[in-house]
Amino acid sequence: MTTRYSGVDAPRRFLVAESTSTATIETMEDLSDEELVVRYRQDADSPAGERYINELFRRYHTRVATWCYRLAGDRDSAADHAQEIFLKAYTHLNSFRGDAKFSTWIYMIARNHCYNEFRSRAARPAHTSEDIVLTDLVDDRAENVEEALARMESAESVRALLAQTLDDTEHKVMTLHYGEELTLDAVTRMLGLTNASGAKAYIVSARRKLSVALRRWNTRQQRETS
Amino acid sequence: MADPMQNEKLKSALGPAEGCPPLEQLVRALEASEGDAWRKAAEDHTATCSHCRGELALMREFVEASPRPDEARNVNWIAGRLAKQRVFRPSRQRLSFFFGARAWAAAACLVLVAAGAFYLPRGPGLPSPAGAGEGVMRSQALELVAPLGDIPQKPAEFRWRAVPGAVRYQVRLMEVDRSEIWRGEATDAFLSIPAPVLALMPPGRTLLWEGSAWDQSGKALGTSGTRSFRVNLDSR
Repeated sequence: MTTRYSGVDAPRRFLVAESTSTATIETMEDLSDEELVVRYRQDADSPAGERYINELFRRYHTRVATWCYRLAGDRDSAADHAQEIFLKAYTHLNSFRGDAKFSTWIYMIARNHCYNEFRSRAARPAHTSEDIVLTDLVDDRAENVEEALARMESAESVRALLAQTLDDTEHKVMTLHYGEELTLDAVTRMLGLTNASGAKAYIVSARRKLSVALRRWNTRQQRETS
Repeated sequence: MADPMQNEKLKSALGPAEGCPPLEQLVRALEASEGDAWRKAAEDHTATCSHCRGELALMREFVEASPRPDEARNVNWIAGRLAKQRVFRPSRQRLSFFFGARAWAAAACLVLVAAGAFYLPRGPGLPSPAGAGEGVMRSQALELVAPLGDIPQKPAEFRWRAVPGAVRYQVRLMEVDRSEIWRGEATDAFLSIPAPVLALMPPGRTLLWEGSAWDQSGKALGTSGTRSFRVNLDSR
């Protein structure tokens, strides 16, 4: 999948405006992201408008590239996804109202694009072998963690138990793997986990903690009903 | 294997709770001035909500982080490739990604039939423009209404005649060499043109467009021929 682009290069210090009376020179670098969007909208029909949008997107090349590389794990696929993210940003720029920072807005595009793309990939059978389901992690001394979680009254009870039991990294790993359905490799890269088995170790650790917490919860429940 | 119903409960518990604000709103609240009640509420929520803390941490990682040493080479390569690219023009290959091979095979057959019937006898050259508002009807074809030919100002939308049974229409905007510069989809017989696309229609530049109609099952019901239009030079 390739995308063709054309246009003129935008020098980083392109002269934006010059006031001879005050001798001040405004360069692209002086403009905030949000100001670049405003200038682009004002000059959308002109080469200047193109320079504004190119400068704006240039500021996010590395960030989007990093995000995509962490999720994809290979540079060609990441480059394609990065292009698609900028294409979406360009096509939907009108929906940027300036309520939030541009960085937040483009992050949401990158996040949603990649989660959708990589979620569907993770769901394919070829990718499930490396994934862990909680039923695979049955503690000999305890019942299946997932079945026990399912017996809890509501998702809110499960949420509370997860919040009380897991530390932030375990929670993030669980959210990305089970909630967003990303592969363990992608989760490892995204969170920069440097331990030998990466995200998998955090899933195992989370499951151990949950197993203990569920036993306590079960005991409490039995006490309350008797 | 895990029971999907059980997974759903876990998945739901790992997602945003009812009281979680959208991330953009949470970020704005946290950036409000010190002592602001909105900020205080956002801080209180974040302190107790693992989901929102995780989302914020990932967003900060995106905004602030630079590539790690082991990523730098590949990330720089990707960023370098992006830097060489400017105005965004999706390629024709992308279309198969969006619509699937079967639908495109059907569309390609219809295009070939239409091309055989209309273009080959007329020889090479640009598709001929028609006067404004003058549609051209073809057998099993989508009738394009506007913009067509020389037009006094940039069009606000693409318009065509509705096709019975169609639930989706696709529009392609192209350069005169037929390289696609934009595509859009609509469920009605018109498609508003976004501002960035209008920027690609300076006065005097001839562009081509064509449409196709699709039914519920993804079957192509008809395609238009390729038509040209141009915003008059004196429209500035």
